[in-house]
Amino acid sequence: MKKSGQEKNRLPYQVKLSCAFMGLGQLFCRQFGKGLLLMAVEIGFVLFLIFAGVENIVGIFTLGTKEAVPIMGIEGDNSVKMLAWGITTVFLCILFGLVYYANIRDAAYTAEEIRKGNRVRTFSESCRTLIYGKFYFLTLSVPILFVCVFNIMPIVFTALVAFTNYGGEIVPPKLVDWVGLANFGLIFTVSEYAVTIVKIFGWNLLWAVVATALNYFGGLGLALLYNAKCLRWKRFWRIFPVLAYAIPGFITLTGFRFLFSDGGPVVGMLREWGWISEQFTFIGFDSKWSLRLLGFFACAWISVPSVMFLATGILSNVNRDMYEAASLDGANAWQCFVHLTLPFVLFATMPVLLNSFIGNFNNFSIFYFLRPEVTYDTVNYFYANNTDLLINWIFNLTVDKKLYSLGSALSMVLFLFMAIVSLVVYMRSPSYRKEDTYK
Amino acid sequence: MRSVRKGCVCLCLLLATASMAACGERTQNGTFSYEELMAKFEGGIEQNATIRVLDNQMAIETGHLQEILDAFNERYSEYNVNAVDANMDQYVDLEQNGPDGYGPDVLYQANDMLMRYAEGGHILPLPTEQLDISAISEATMDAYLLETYGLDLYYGMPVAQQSTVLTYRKDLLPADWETRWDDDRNGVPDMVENLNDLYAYSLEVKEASGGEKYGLYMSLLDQYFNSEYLLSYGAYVFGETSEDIGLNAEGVETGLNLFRDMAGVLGSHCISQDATTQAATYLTDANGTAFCTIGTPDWLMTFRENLAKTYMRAGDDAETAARKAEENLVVVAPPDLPKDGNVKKELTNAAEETFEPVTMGGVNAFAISSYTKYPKASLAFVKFVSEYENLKWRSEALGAVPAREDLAEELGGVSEMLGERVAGGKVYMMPSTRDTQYIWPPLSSMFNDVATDNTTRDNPKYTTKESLRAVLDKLVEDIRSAMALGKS
Repeated sequence: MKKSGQEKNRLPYQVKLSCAFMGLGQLFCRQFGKGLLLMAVEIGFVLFLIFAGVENIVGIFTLGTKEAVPIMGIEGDNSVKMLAWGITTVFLCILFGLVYYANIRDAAYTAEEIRKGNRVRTFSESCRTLIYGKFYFLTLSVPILFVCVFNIMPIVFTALVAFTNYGGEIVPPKLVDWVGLANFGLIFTVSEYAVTIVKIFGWNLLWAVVATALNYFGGLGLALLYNAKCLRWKRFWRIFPVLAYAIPGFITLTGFRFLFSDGGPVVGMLREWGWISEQFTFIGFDSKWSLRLLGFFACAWISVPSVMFLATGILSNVNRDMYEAASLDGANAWQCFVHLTLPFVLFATMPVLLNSFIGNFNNFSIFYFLRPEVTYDTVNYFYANNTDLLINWIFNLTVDKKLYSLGSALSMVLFLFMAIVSLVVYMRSPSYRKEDTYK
Repeated sequence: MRSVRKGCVCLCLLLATASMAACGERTQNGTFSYEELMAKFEGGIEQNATIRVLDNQMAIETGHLQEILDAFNERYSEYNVNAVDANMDQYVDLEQNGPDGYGPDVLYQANDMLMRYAEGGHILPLPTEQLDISAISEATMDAYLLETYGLDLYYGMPVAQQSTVLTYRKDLLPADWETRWDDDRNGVPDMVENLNDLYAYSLEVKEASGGEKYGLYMSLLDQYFNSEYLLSYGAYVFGETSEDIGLNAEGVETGLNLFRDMAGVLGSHCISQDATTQAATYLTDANGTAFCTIGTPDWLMTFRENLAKTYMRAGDDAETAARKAEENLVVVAPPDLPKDGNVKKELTNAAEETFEPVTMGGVNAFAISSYTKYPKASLAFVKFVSEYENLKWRSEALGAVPAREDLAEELGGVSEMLGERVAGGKVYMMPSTRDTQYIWPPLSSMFNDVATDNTTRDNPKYTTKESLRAVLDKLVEDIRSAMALGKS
């Protein structure tokens, strides 16, 4: 028995061969098509490593060793491209590793089939199994691959840029260097950045909370109003939020900017009526709270209709019996709203609410379009204004001032914060904790 | 499975070792002689070359660029060279796009931008012995001089000079201007000769029209034009090095206070970048919304075109409208400034109490991208556009002030006036260094802050000399911060 157990634990030689070289085990299992294909993959990968892959991976560490001299036509290393190619190669290595692992598992499976005395699958049978038996795998692997290429790789690239000195005066043909956590240190220690980040972060948080609440309760209120029995011509009234929702946001914001600019009709009328002083401006160098309030208003104008549509759909599923029972127990309209409507809507919309919070936290367009003048309030901020959100500041630093590495470091801090907040809020939400409540 | 794990670990170690072992020393590419640097321009023009030319928006809109491209292609037809419009934004960033293989082969930009590229190695030094630079002043050429590999090399072929001029509508002058607004009886309205009278006239127009019309209309955020108020009272951008920033030099607060006073009469509508484009409309509309504006000489062509359209809408035929527009739009030197900085006072002897301002200037040039595949064809194009006759053609078509002194003299008018101002040291050339990029945002922000102070601020902050000095000191501090962080 002991001997038999040892034999059982020992790896079949086909698996060992597949460990040594992809496809070799399959060849010895007489699966020639699959074996040759896997061998071709490994040969291709090894050739790729020899001719480019190793150099690409080395490039991630060095970020180039030879500086180009464009005026002499002397080509050199482009650190940014090397970083991008390096990341791509690492991803290809991971992909190859996964294929290698699959190859070993396949060899082990086939060896086991042989040991059991079963017939070995032919190449066409293996293909059929993949198409029909593991269709989910085939269909999901393509989107995953695309997610890796178009989402994860750029994110990794941006994240790695945060650890370099890329940007400002260090752009190709100059070589970029790894600087470790220096950029994060700069953000929190250099007074210009530290003061600006504290001020903007405080405002950004307030903006996200207030704008989300405003949009949410505004939309819910509107939905309840349109749901009210006493309201006549409901379809007619619903046209207006649809219009506000259908017009592209930046057009609405440009309209708001025109209406509330110093020479615009709103300011003109308010001045004429004596409601504001001659000096008052909504959009000016000194405008802070007036423009912030205008921002909340514009954001609500754009976002409330979408929440209203969502809430209208959810409210149509409310169990009316609960309200009847509540009214029999003597509950008034407010109590019904607080204890019945709100928990029900909140339960159903918590993920949307969270999404709205993240969207508002990173709401780039509102103040970008409301305050288009490219002058910064350098008295109090570094390349920013008192209405800028973190995302606007990152834009100023990266697109406008080309401080890429600092922008990346800020983006990472922002990402970490949002990821933690989103996870904590979601884990504590009724949607997650009381999943079965309304089932 | 243990052997699989071992294999994976071995593979990782192998890759890591290979990577670390390959981490070599970074190498520089030594120095080069003048002959080596210019070798790419030797020999005949490349056959079948297509060169992308980036010119300014006005050259494209007026059709001049296409005309010059056609003329060049015809001249070099034996080489089958095809020069085409690069069809890119006129402020395309070669630093960003060049290494990626985008960008033009030949580009036309101002000296601060081009020399930023030169410092980064993105444009080629030019073989000046092959170019006709004899009629270009040393000061103008020096805007494109950069020491590279121990050699004094020029990176641009100067074509046009830029500085500030005042453009006004003669037909909008008050009927009694000769008695009321020409104290020195020299036949030139006082309000275009000195800023005190322009201030007074602007105030009068504003009050009479209930704020609907302007005497002077221009953007109060434009750092380039408004820097005149600082430079005229002793400011300078950089001294010997960019460490020495002189925008807060002694006495500059007087000029800043003058700017603040001007902002008060121009009003909050001018605190906008849009005001620069609005000026073209306000100066040329049928209502005569603005009497004058301060800008660059090449705006004149747009103004003339707009005004001619206005006259045509009023019933004039095209020829009459064009003639009237040409007659009524007058370009003069920027108005003299009060020596004591008091723009509100009435002058008793303008010649004694005012002085000629110092304005910011620049030199626009054609340069060749380092990333061009056709350096010889590109150089041929630069030579072609800088020929005397072609420069004259350009100046006449675009209203640009030529960099060539002999041509400026021949053209007379604005070209000659500006040439004299440059020769007289009244034009401060934008420093030809990449550090210049750090001065613009803080400067614009300061102008915004100070202009707001005298227009829409409930409690003005900059009412004393000390407060204005403090804001200038803060400006320099901000520029230093931006510079330090940009280089960190």
